[in-house]
Amino acid sequence: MAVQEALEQAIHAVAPAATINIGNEHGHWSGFVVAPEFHDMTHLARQQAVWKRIRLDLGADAVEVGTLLLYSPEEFDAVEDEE
Amino acid sequence: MRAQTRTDYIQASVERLKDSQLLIDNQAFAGAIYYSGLAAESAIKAFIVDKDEEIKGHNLAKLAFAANFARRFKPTIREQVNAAISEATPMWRNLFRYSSLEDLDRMGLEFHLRFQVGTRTTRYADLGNDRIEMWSKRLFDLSSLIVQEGNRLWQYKKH
Repeated sequence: MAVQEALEQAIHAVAPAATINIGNEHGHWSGFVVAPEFHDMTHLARQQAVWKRIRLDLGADAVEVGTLLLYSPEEFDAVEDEE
Repeated sequence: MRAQTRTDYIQASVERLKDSQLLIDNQAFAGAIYYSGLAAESAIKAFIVDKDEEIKGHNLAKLAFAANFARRFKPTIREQVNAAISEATPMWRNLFRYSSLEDLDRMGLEFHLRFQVGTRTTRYADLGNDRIEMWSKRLFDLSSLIVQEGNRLWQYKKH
């Protein structure tokens, strides 16, 4: 299975309603994940939950994952506003 | 004029963070918010310079992608740095350099700002009269982590 597909499955295992907008930049998969499931979690709890699953599902391929920034839909509106 | 080097960006990040602490100590919270974000931006930009790329924009999240910033850390640190960048991004804009306290407060409400207070993520609108102070202190803490880990990585790469 391709790394992108495995990564998206891992993220959806943690946040089934997630909208995933990732791309491969400099050999690593990075981008935004927006999910209502993150609403009541701290940012650190989100990262810990997602990365635990990524390491479990991707194994050695997890090294191909770069920076993932995780938001609830309400928060994401303010993220995209300024370049 | 010579281009900014990675060393310039790292040193500036440490200095702007100290400036922010002084502003918080003196209850100048609007300035503290601006300088905290600037410190984080400068720390992240240091790792784009490293890759010899042109640096565009001020959005902390997009800069972090370009720098592949958190990828460079050990897993536990990476989670903390990613979390700090995620939370800090909606809390800071370059346009804040022109913002009064009143203007910042209006934008905090308008942008539906949320950040961690204690152990919970809280809506800015639900906080009390000292909400700008809480905003400035939370952003300072997040930027401190980003600058500290950026600086540590820079020291490691130098040797």
